[in-house]
Amino acid sequence: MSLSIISANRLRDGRTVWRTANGEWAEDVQAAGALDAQALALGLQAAALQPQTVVDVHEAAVTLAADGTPILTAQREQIRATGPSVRPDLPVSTWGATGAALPPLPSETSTSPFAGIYRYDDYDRQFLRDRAAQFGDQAARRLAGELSEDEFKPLRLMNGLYLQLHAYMLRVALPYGILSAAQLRQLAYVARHYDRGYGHFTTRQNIQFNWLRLEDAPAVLALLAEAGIHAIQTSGNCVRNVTTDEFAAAAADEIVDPRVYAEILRQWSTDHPEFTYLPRKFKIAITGSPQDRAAVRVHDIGIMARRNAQGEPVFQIFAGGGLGRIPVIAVKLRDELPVHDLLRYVEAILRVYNALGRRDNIHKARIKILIREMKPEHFIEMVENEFASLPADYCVLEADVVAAVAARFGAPAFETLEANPAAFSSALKDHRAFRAWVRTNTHPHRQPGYISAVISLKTPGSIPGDVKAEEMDKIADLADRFSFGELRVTHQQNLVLPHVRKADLHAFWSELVTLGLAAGNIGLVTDIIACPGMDYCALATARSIPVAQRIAERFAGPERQQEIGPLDLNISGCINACGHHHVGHIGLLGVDKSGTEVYQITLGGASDEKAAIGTIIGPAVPTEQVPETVEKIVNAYIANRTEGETFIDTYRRLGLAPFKEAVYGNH
Amino acid sequence: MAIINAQGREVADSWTTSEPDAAPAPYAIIPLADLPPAGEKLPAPLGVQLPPGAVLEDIAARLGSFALIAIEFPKFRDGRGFTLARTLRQKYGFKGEIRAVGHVIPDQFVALLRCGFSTLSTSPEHPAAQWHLPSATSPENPAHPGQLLHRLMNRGLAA
Ligand code: HEM
Ligand code: SF4
Repeated sequence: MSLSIISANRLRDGRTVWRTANGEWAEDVQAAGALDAQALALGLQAAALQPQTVVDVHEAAVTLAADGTPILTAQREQIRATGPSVRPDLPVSTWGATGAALPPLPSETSTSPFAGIYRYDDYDRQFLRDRAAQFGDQAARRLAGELSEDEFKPLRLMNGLYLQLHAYMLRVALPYGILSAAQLRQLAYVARHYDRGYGHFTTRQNIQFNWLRLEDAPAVLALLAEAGIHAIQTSGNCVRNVTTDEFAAAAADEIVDPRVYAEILRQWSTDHPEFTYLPRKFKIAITGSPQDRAAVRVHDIGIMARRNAQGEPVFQIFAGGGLGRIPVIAVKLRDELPVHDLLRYVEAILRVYNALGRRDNIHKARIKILIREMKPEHFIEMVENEFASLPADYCVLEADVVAAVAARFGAPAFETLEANPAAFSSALKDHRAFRAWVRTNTHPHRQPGYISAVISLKTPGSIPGDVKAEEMDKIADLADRFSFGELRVTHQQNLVLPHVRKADLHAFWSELVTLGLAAGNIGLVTDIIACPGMDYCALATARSIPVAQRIAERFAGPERQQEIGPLDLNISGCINACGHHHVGHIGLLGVDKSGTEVYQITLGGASDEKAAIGTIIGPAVPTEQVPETVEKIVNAYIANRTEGETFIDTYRRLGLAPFKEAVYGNH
Repeated sequence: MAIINAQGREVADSWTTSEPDAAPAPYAIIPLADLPPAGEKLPAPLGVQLPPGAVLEDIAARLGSFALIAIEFPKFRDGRGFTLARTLRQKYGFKGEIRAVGHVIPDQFVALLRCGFSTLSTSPEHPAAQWHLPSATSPENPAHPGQLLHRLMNRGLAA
C-alpha cells in the first residue's frame, strides 16, 4: 500500500509544514501522519479549505521506518524537510525577526561617496516608498482573504517575491547590475536581520534572499526603498530588469554608455500600463560595445551599439533569443536603428508580442516561439508595420531627453593619472600571484591610470554567487576606498569594482587576499555559473551547487586553471536553464532519471558575438562522475589544441568527435 | 454589475448586453461575432464587445458606428485587452467609451485608465467599493507627470 503525507508552506512566512493526523500543521516532519489513498484524498480536501493558512498544499510519498515514523521518498521533499544540503550549518528552523529592536539603517548614516548609480529624485523616492506600502496593503488583503492566492501571486511576483522550497525568496533588482557601497550595506542589513545571513547574486544581475517571510517582505521593501533599491518587476510576466555589460561606462571599447539606455528602458517599462500582463516574462539586454558582454542574442530583445557608415552610434536589434527548454539564438530585426527610435521600436515589438503571443501553453508563451511559429519574416513585417503606424511624436528619444537622463549618473571624479604608474609595474614584476590575478580579473579602463577589477565569488568550494552579510559590508568598504563607492554585478555572478587606480590595485588585491576573495579565476574553468538547483528551487530536478563545488575543487590548482585557459562552464538544475548551460562552452544540465540525478553534457555553446547553443555529447552521466568526465573533456582539448588555441576554438575546429571519444570511448 | 467610471465612482448605466442572435437595438452591446455585415443599417447608439483576440484591422472601417467598445478580460492575467484599448485610442483615434468587462482587479485600475479605458464593469469578487484611485499626491496617480523620462517626454505615452 502506498503511503503519503501532506505538506505545504505556511502562508505568512513560507516555512515548510506537515499535516498531522488530527489536521494541524506541524513544523517537524516527524509529526506528520502517514495516509493511505483514501485518507490522503480527504486530507487534501480539508487542506484546500485553509487558503489563509497554507499555500502549495501537496502530497509527498513516504515509507515507514521500523518505529513507524515516515521517511520521505523524494529528494526534493527530504531537502524541504531538512534544509539545503549544501548548508548543513543552516537546518530548516524558524528564523527571522525576533521582535527585538533593530539597529539604525545603514542608509541613515552613510558617508559613502555617491557612486555612478542613477540619481533618484523626490518623485522616485516617493514612488518606491509608495510601492512598498502598496505591497504591504496587498499582502494584508491576501492574509485577510480579500485577494485569492491566484490573484495575489502575480502581484507578489511583480514585487520579486517567489515561494521556494523552504521559504519565500525575494529577488531584488540591481538595475543593470550597478550598485553603490551604501546600497550593498543595506542589502547586508536585510541578509543579517531578515534572512539567514547571506544573499545570492544571479546571472541576471540581481540578488536573491532565500529566506524571507511574507510578513516581513513589506518592511524589507520599505527599507530597501530608503537606499533607492526595489524588487519591482524582478518576476512576473512583465519586462524584467534590463541587463548590460558589467564594464559599462568604464570599458575602453565602448561606443555608447549602455547604462543610460538601460535606465531609459527601465523607466519606460516600470509599471508600463500596456505591458505588465504579457504572455510570459520579457528580458532585454543591451551592450554598448561591439564586444557582446551581455549575451544579447539569448534575450527576448537584444540591443547592441555600433557605428554606421557616418560614424554615428546606432543600434542593432535582435529579438526572440532565449534559453529554457527551447533554446534559440535571436533573429536580427534591424542593423542600424537610429538611437531616437529605440523606445518606439521596442514598443512595437512588445505590442505585436502582447497581442499575438501564445497564452494557452506556458511553455510556448515566450516571444521566441511566436517568432518561430509565425516565421521571422512575417514577424518582422508586423513589427515594422506597427512601428510605422505609431504617431510621429510618440516616444521619441530626442538628444535632450537622453542627455537629461545621462546627467543623472554622477561622473566619478577621475584624476589625471599616468597610464602605467611605476608602482603598478613593479608590483606586477614582484608578485607572481598578483600578476596572475591581474591577468584574469581585470579589464582595461578608458581612463588612463584606472582599471576595472573583478572580485570572484567562485573561490573553489564556495557556492557560486553566494555572499555573506559580513563579506558584503567588507566589500562595500573596499568599494568606498578604491572605486568611488561603486560596484557592478556581472552576469557570471561576480562583483566588479569598476574604477580602481592602477597604482592602488596591489593594495586592493592584498585586501581581497585577507578576505579570502582573491581567486584569480575569472573566465577560467572554476568560474562556474550555477543556478541554485534543488537545494533551494521549487522547479529543480537536480542539485547543481554540489556539482559546481566538486568540479571547482578538482580544478582548484591555479596553475592547472591557467594551463587550461578561458573556459565557460555553466550548470543548470533543470531545463529552465537559469544557469545558462546551453551557452556554456561546457554545459551541464541536471535531470532526474527514475529517481537518480544524472547530468546531460553539452559542448560548444557560446553567448558572445558567436552565440551558439551547445550540442549534447551523448548519454547523461551519473552525478558522481561529472567532475571526472569534465576532466576527460578538458584533457582531450589539451591533447588536441594548437598553440594558443582556446577550448572553444578547438571545439569549433574539431567538433564533438575527440571529446566523445574521450568520454565514451573504450580506454 | 455596477459600472465604475475613471474616478472610481459608480455611474448609472443605460447599456445592456445583447442576447445572442437578438436584433441590434439602441444601447445594446453586441458581441463582435454577432455584428451584422458591414453596410447594414445599425441603430444608434450601439456598442460592440470584443474578445481579447479581436483583430482590429477587420473592423477598422466601422469603428465610427460604435459609441461604446467593451473589451473582455477572460482572466486578469491576460493582458491583450490593454493593447486593444491602446491601439483603439492611438492608432484608430477612437473617441467613444471603452469599457473593461470580465476579470479585472482593482490593482489594475490605473493601468486600465492609462491604456484608454473609460469605464469598467465590476464583479461580485471585486465590488465597486474596492475601486479607488491612488491619492492625488501619490506618484501612482494617473494625473502625476511620472518619472523623469515621462516628464521629459510629457508622458509621451498618453493614449
Ligand atoms: C530560484 C528561483 C527561480 C525560479 C523559480 C526560476 C524560474 C525560471 C523559469 C521557469 C525559467 C524558464 C522560463 C522560460 O523558458 O519561459 C527561467 C529562466 C531563466 N532564469 Fe530563472 N528561476 C529561478 C532562479 C534564477 C536564478 C538564481 C537565476 C540566475 C542565476 C535565474 C536566471 C534565469 C535566466 C538567465 C533564465 C533564462 C532566460 C530565458 O529563458 O531566456 N533564475 N527561470
Ligand atoms: S534552472 Fe531550474 S533549478 Fe535552476 S534555478 Fe532555474 S528553475 Fe531552478
